[in-house]
Amino acid sequence: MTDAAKLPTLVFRAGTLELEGLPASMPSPLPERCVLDPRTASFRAPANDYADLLRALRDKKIEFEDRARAYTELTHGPLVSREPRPYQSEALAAWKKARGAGVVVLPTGAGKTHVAVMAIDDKRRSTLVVAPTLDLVRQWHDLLASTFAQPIGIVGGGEHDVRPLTVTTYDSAYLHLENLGNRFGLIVFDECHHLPSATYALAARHAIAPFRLGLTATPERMDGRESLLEDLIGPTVYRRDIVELAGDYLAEYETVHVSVSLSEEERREYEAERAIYRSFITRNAIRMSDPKGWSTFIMLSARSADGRRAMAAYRRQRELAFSAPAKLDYVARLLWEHRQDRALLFTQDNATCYALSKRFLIPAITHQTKIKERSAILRGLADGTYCAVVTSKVLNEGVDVPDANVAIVVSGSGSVREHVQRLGRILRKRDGKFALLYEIVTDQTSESYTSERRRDHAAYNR
Amino acid sequence: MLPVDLVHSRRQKDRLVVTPLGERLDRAREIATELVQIAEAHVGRTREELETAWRALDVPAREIRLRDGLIALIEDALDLDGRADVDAVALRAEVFSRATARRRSEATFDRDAILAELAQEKGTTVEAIEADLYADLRGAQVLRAAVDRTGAPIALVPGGAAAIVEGYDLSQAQSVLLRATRVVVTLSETPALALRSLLRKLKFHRLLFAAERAAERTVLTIDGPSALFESTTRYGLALAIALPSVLACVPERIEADLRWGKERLPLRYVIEPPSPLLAERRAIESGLPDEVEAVIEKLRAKSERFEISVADVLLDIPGVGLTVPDLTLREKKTKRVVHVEVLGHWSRDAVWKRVELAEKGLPEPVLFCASERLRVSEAVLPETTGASLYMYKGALSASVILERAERLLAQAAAPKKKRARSV
Repeated sequence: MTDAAKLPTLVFRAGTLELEGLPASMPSPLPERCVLDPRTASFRAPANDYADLLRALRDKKIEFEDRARAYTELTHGPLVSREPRPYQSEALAAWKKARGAGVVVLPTGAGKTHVAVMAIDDKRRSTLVVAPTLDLVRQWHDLLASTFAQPIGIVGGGEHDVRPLTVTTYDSAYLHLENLGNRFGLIVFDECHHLPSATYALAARHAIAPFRLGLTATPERMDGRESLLEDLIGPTVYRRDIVELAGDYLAEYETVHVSVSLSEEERREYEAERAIYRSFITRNAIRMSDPKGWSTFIMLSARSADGRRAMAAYRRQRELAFSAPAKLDYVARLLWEHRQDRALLFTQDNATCYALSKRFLIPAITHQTKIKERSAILRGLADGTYCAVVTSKVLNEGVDVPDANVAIVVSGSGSVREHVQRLGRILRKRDGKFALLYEIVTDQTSESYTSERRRDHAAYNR
Repeated sequence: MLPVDLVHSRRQKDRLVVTPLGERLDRAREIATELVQIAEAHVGRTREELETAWRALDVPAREIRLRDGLIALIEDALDLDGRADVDAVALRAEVFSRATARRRSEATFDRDAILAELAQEKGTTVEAIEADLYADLRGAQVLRAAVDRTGAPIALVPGGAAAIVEGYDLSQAQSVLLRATRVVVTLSETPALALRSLLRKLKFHRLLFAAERAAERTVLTIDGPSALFESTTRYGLALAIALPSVLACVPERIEADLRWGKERLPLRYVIEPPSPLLAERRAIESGLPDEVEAVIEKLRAKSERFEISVADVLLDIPGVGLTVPDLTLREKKTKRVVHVEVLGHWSRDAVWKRVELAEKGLPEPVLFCASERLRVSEAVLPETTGASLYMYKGALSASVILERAERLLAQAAAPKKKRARSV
């Protein structure tokens, strides 16, 4: 063994940092999370403590060999640059002040991506961009390729090509950062409200990147885990809301709430089916407001004929509310009114999405749509080949559809974030653009309450 | 693998109790047989039709989960693929772009007229166009007949219903382990080959383990590197995949800590007798490495002094590691032994770990053999440590192994720095 091997070494090992060669009995000068691992007789720390660990070792004047870091410096910055908007410069300055680790909150269409490009240029380290969908991966790939004029790596969607600038999905990051976590000095988490889930959070923990940028329009989560963002990325360093930017930097818009009614016959059926469903959950003391309510209903409904009937009743009353004939007639009318525009239709589920596609002969995009066809459909919407596209959830966030100026929410969940994101899809500014969001709700059904909940945001109360 | 929500389980205080097929075995065979027959009758038809037919198989409410679990396992074994005769993407582009153009140019939007016009142009019917429009969706995938490499028909489900039922309990256990944060395996009298296979599997899946000896037992606690900082199910899939190797060691007991259900409830899952998973000794997954197989007969032919056998010991130094030698050379006259472990050419790191192991003191002499391709000098391990490093070029030499074994025995009288445990 050589003398060099005797020097303590810091190694990246499966999403952790192994510090080998330090005596186990030494008075610990290391950060709290760097602990002795008896399984390997070495000190171990989570990879995202890399910067803290390096500082601690240097402060204590402990010589060591850093074999963990495998990221490089970029040879050049963007070859295409444009003047940032004032709030984009403010956001970058706030992020730099926080040692290049923090979250920037800006509404959809406000140019979060440009803030990321400025951050990459500022740090000039190998960078990984993590995005929630393959559509967004494609979008980031094209943007980085044209801005930095160099080949961009992709991990995910059947590809595994790692380069100094690489784009991936949260799913792939969770799987691969255990191996690739030392290859990047900066990580950009796009739509970073996804990150604090139990699994995705490991993507951040398995990476050593000392610089981290989170981008989102709506960091808040139903489960309150947004508080983890501070540990995984850094604190929220900058925030602006839709109402602060509408008009100047986002398109002016209007939201239109449309109520439609069930016919008498549909109403009778709706009430009858709902009564069957309600009676079952009352008899079994299931509280749907309880976080466990839905899973309890699924479990109990499978156990008896009564339960199966209750589940069928639940589905039918929901179908009547979500796809009421009057609602679909209204959609037909809107498609006709806006046939010269670019409309996005949103549904709560794939079945309704495909039903609308077949009925109105408009393209559908769901998670089953392959990336090549998705790109062709979005190009078709931009160049006017199509006047409308229907989607369930995949276009809720991130995907750039700058020409879309009409959104029609046919059905959705009670999530404020989802509703704000859907509005955001049509707000990217274009000369003279005025955006319209229609929300069609079947009156006096459970959907009315769902609609009230999701509109609880400043963007809908102007 | 069985979806987690189809595992037949119940909570009992802080335990998750998984119900094996047990008395339902015959019933499971009946249901599986019917499901396979339904699948065979649906070759050439769509996944949606097949799934509808499967769900129509009426079973009592208490058997629905069993039926659905069997469906999941059978579905895994089938070849369901998109329709090759329809280019649905191209058809959609054509239909939707024409519909947009008509919507913009005509006074009213007439859906039926657009489809009729297209059908006429293509020499088909409106119904066919509507059916083909989304022919590439998952539900429209077609069940293909199974064929071998030569194209000859074979069973649709390999091993038939019997194989599906036979694998059901293992699938249940593996699905539970997907939610495991760590697994504790208690071993005794473990065949060395099975243990080696397990350790290789753990290493391959980047799992780590701590080994402890209690009485005559060895307890392996298996999890992953970052489990040191938080309880995570990140390694659940690796633990599930490693389960057959764990079972091949015929453990006394397997204990898994789980985060179960949406609430991620901390529960414990235990596999112990009379679990059917521990009922019989299973075939060991892998035998000796090829290079060891190749040298063992040569050693026997060349050596008068030693009895050569497959090793059955486990060398453990707490905090440093555990290793399983491949061969044991026992001196006929004195019964003293030298173990041989072949590290091959797969990990330079493994060599350094063995050096560290030897420096801490091994209970019995060991000759470590590694390929020259790993570029480690034999000098890093002086024979005074009670171990020796043989860096071989190409194939292992029986003569060199015997010569080194003799030298190690000659060194064995020297005092040891520290004794470790031989398990």
